[in-house]
Amino acid sequence: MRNTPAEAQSCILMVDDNAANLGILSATLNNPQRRILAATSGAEALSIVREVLPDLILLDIVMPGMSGFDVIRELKSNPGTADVPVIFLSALSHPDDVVDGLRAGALDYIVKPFNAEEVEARVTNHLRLRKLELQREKQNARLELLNDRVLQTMREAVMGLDSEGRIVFANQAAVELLRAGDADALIGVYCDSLLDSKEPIDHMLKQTGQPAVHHFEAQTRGDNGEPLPLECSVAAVQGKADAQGSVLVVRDISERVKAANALRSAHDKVLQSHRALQQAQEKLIQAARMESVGQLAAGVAHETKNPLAIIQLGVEYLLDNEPHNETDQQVLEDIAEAVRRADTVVKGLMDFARESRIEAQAVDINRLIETSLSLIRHEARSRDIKVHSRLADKLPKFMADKDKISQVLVNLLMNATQSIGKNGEIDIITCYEKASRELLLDVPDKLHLSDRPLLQIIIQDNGGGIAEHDLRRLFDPFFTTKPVGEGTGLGLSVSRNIVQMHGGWLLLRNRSQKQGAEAILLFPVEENQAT
Amino acid sequence: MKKRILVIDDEAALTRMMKLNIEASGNYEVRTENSGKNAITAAREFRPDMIFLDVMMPDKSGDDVAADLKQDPVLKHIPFVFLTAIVTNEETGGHASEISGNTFLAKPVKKEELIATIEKFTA
Repeated sequence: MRNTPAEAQSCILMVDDNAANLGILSATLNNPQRRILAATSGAEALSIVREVLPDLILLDIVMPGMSGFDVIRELKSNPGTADVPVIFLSALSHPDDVVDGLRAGALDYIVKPFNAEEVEARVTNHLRLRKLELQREKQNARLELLNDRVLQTMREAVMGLDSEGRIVFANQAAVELLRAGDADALIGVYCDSLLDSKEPIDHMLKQTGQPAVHHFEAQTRGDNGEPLPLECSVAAVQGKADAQGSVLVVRDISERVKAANALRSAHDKVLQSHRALQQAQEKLIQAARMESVGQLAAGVAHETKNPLAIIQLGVEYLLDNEPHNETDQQVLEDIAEAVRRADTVVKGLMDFARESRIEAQAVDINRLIETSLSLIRHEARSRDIKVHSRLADKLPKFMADKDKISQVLVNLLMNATQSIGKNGEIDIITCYEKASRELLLDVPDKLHLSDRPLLQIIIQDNGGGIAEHDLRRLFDPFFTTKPVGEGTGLGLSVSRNIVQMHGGWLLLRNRSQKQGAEAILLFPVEENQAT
Repeated sequence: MKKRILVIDDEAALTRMMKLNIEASGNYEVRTENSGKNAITAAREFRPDMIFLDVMMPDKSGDDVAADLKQDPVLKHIPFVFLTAIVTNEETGGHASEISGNTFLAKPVKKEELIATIEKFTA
């Protein structure tokens, strides 16, 4: 214990102009855990304090030169020494002197002549208090540092607010979130001026007496002035009435909101494509129904028009076969009129079954191809047929009747799948370029499709191809290679008609390099519509 | 000499009416045939100046008959006109019209159209 290190020692400074007093005091207080310093004047005491900060000063009051009061005033005026505890030791024993001494900042007042044991007891107590005080300060400093580290490393913005809602502290995350230059720029600012919440923060705190944490959403401005969604928590700090305030924690939830929005829009897209699929399905059903209506109309027309033709020619023969009386003439004319009316009804039915007008609009041909492909995808899949598309981008704008061109594409694609039968490949290609010389041999000159770039759609299959003797008759109406009842034999002739109505031409031929057939659609496009 | 017209249609009543009307003018001789399959034989025997050909016939379609006619070395130069119930008068414009290189007459056909078509093709 004799070699106790200096830090563990308490340092006591005795100040008295009487050396004998210093000797007695030193003998009283001497202890290996104490380092005892002595000064015989106020000036000497202050100079020692500047060198070594004592844990306790025993200070005489009446001294020549600087008095004890002068010394304590000097000590209290200096922040470095203001906290050093001082005990006055004085012969001045009047209660007023004691009060003056304590008022001057001394912690204690011992009247001389003193009782050694009392001095020892008091000194021991004050040293212990001083030690505790120093420990507390150290601990506070550590806690403050820890607190600061925690706050600065948090991703959430943390701010302390006073009772008026002004910011009293802010961590780095708060500085960044609120786009302030540094923490000082936020101090004293009303928090409500930076955060938009539905309800002022102090209202929320006053609303309930509960010390609960209130959670709410708010907004602030992001870098480009766009609103930044925030999630906030605020809790009142309970304290004395004049020290009330709150702690506010703020999280930037823009990523979460973005993710939620992305999820929602993905969900919407799924719904949309589902709806589109449903529509496509309905269209397909409608198309199938229209096809059977078309077949029905053709059947009715055939079965009706033949008898009408017989009646028509019979009546005309009789009308020309004079002479007959007036009544006979009237009867024959009435029959002729009835035939005309019946023919009109049949014609109406056929018009209903096939609409023959063109309604042109700007068409994105690639997209139309995708749509048409979606209509045959199921059929292709059930036949194990893979469909590849190589669609050129930057195709010129194409003025066309969307539904009719789609009808042609579906028709050609269905022909391709039927030609393959099972297990094969269909390629669909678009481009915008001049048709080859060899291709133009099969295109009527009057269409003027040579010497200009054409919008080309090529549908290739690797099926059985086209028999040589069928090649010339493909576009003949009613020609079909399908079993009786499965095809009307009108598909290709109608398709070529539609293409022709657009000023273009439809070709079918066997592929030169590979097995299978290809359909080639050539369309003129006005140059100034090219994009 | 009267021009010879061959009418091929599976409806016997119709071919009868056509024969009556066409021959009434006094300028033509008409033979009728009610089977698509017998059409080529009938044409070879009769050597018509022109042929009316129904499209939809149960045993052999007019389309097939037309293809055979075009192939036949003796018959390939004889003009033929389709009679069809599938095309409307509106589409043919009320007279014989060309679709994909073939001539069509829509049923029910009027006598004057019939005669006009014959005159055009046998001129």
